[in-house]
Amino acid sequence: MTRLSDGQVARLRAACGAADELAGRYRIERELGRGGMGVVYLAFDAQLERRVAIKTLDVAAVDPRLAARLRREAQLVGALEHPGIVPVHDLGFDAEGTPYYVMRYVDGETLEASAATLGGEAARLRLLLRICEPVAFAHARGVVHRDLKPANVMIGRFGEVWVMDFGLATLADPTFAARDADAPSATAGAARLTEAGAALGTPGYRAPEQEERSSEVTRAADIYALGCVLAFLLTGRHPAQRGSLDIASLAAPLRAIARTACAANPAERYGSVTELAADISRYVDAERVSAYDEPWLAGARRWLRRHRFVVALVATYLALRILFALWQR
Amino acid sequence: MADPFPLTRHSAIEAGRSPDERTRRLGYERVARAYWRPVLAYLRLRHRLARADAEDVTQQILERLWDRQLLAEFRPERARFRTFLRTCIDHLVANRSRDAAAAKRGGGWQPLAKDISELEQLLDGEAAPIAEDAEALFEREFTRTVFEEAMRALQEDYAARGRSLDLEIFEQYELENRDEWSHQDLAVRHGLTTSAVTNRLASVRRDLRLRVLATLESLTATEEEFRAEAERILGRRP
Repeated sequence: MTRLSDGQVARLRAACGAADELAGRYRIERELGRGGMGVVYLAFDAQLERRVAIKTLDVAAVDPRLAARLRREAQLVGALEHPGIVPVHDLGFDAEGTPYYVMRYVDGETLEASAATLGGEAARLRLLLRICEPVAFAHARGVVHRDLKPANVMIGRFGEVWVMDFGLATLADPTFAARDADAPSATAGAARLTEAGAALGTPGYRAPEQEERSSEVTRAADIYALGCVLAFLLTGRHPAQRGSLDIASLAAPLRAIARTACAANPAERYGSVTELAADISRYVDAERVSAYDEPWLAGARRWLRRHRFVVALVATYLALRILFALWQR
Repeated sequence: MADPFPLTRHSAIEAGRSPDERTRRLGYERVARAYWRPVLAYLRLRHRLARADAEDVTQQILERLWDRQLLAEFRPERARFRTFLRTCIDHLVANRSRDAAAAKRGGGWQPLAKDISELEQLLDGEAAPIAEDAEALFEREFTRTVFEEAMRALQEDYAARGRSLDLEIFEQYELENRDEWSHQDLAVRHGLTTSAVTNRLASVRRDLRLRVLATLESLTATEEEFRAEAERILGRRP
C-alpha cells in the first residue's frame, strides 16, 4: 500500500462518511456473518435506539433474481411470528437499490459453537424439542426451511432458542397460505424462492430428495435434517455425508428415532415434526418410543426405570412382610 | 441513549497492558506500527528536531513504551491515549540528554522498517507546514495511518474472497482523479453494468468504513475515545 496523499485521505473520509446509514436510520457497525449470497451486519437503529441485525446482498452476488429472493425471504420470515423465529422489523432498499431487511439482533452462539456446553443427554433432547417447535410452526404455515443445521440454530445468553436463516425456505404447499386467512399475501408470493433443480441445503444435513429432486422437497426434508441435528447433539459429530449417521453409541430407541427421521424414503420418515418431537418426549419420559420395536425385556426394564419409586416402595413392603413372617415363625 | 457498541474491545492498547508477554508484545507492535509516523511528524514540527534526531527519538519512544512498560502506566480514564503519548514524547525530549545512554540498550525491541521519504519531503519541502500546529499534524498522520491500515486489510480480505476487481474499481474511482471516471466509464472499462459498478462501489465504501472503525477500535483505549476518534475522522459519532 503506497502512502495516501492528503487528497486521497479526504476522499476516503468522505466516501466512508456517506456509507454508514440505511434509510437515515440504521448505522452499520460491523459484519456479523457472510454466506453464499448475503451478508449480515450488526447495526444501531437510531430511531428506536436498539441494536438490530441487517441482512443484505453481498455485492458480488447482486443480481435481480437474488434481490428478489432476499426480499421474498424477508416477507416469508416476517409472516412467521413465533418466539423461536427471529422477527423481521423492516424491509427496504439502500441508495443503490439493493434490498435489505432488518431483524432482531440475537446475542448468543450457534448450536454448533455451543454444543460442548449443553449438558447431558436429557438437556440436549429437551433443547432439540425447543428447536422442533418453531420448525413445526413454520410447517403449519406451509413453510419448509430446507437448511436446518446446527449453524442455523442460535442459543441466546439466557437459553433462548431461535431457528435462523430461512434463506432457502420455500412453501411446501403454496395454496396453503392462500387458504389461511391469517397468512399475508406476500407469503403466497414467496412460493418459489429458488431455482428448480438446484441442490439446496448443506451436505450431511441435506435430505436425499434435496439432492435429487429439489422441486419435490417437502416438510420431510426438515424432518431428515432434524434427525441429523439429533445425532449431532448426542454425538458431537456432523454427519459426514448422506446416510452416514454415526450413532452406534446411542441407546437403541434414540437410534431408532434418528433412523426413522433420516429414512432415505420421505414416506418412511415421521409424518410431521410434531410426531418426531412426541417420540423424543416419550424417550425423555421413559415411555415407549413409536419408532422402536421394543423387546419385552427392554420394555420391562424401561417400565421399571420409569416406575422405580413405586417399584422400590412395593419391593420394600414385600421384603418387610417376608422378614416379619420369618420372624413370627 | 442505548450503547450501540459491545463492551468487549479488541484494543491493541489493552493488549499492550496485558500480563501475558506474548499478548503484550503483539499489542506494542501494533501500537508502534500505527503511531511511528505521527510521532515522527510531531517531533519534527513541535520540537524542531532534525530528521536524524527525530528518527532516533521516535525509536527511543517506541523502545521505551516496551522496555518500561509505559502502556501499563496509561490510565484511560484520565486522558486519551494520544494525549498520553504526546506527554511521553515531550517528557522524553526534555530529558533527552540524560537518557541518551539508556537509549542504546536493546531490550528485544526490533527497530521498525520505516519509509519516511514522503513525509520528509513534506516537512523539508518549500511547502512545509511550518505554521501548522504540531498536534494537528499528529492527528493528520494518524488519520492517514488508519486509512492505510484499513485499505491494506481490505485488500487482503478482498483478495481472499475473489473481490479484487471491486477494490480496483473503488481505487480508480476514489483514489485516482475522480473527474476522470464516471460509473459509466468504469462499467465500460470492466465490462459491467453501470448499476453493478454503483453497487460494488457502495459495498466497498461500507466495508472500508467497517475496517476503519475496527482499526480505530484497536488503537483507542476506551469507548469514548473510540467514538470521539470516529467522529473526528468520519464526521459523525458511530
